[in-house]
Amino acid sequence: MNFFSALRVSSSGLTAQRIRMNLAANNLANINTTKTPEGGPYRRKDVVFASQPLEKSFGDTLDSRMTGKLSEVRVAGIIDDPRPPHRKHDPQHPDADENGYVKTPNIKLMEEMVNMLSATRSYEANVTAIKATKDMALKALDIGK
Amino acid sequence: MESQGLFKGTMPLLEKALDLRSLKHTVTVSNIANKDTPNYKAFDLVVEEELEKAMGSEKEVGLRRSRRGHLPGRTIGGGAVRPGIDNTSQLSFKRDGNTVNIDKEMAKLSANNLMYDALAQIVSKKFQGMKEVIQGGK
Repeated sequence: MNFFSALRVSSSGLTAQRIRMNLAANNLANINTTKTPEGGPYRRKDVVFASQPLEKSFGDTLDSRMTGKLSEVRVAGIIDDPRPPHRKHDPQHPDADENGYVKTPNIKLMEEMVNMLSATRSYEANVTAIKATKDMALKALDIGK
Repeated sequence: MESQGLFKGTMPLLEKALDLRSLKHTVTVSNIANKDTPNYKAFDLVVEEELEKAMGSEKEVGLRRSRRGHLPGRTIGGGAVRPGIDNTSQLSFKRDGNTVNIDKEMAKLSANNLMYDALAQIVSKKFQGMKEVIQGGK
């Protein structure tokens, strides 16, 4: 059962990192958006990860009770970044206030790029882990050949 | 150790070692998946220590034989193995309380993988040897 638990843990990591990647892309695409359905500029979205004991099936639960610590990663929620929006002086802009300032999204380009790279690396780490799991399982099947 | 004949000796030890290696693999994978989870603490399992514990273990887990005709169960080292918090990587450079050191985990993953392969190969060769003896070297 162990290998299947390992695969499940890794795939939960893949899902989580993919969601993080989607949010980074979302943020990058909306870096200049000043109008949103809720009104005001677009707010940066961020993901919150939480670890969760692996207890989906009977085997997992047994493993987890016997060994304690195995946990997969879960997206606990998507939050709006609480930082205030940036202000840019642009009196020509239709969204400018009486002093000529436009509120632009609280997104920093470099921060998003770094976030994206970090998500990619984590994704790759999980892919490597899955490959290793598969190799080990196949090796176990070779016993007795 | 009560296992008899062909499968006595190193076989139960190899079995236990394979079990521990695959458990260690799962622990490492769990650490890798939780690399970006705030407040997650990395876990580790030292296979050599656990193996030693299992070898010297007083309480063996196995089937009790109340009649002579009963088959022996597996009787090597008992008790559940619990991975402990990895104390060597409590130094964290991130501010979110996460202690996973990804380089270390990846290295551990491939080292463990190699050890597993080696063990599997030893078991495989043992069987091959037996087969050869049974067939009289034909």
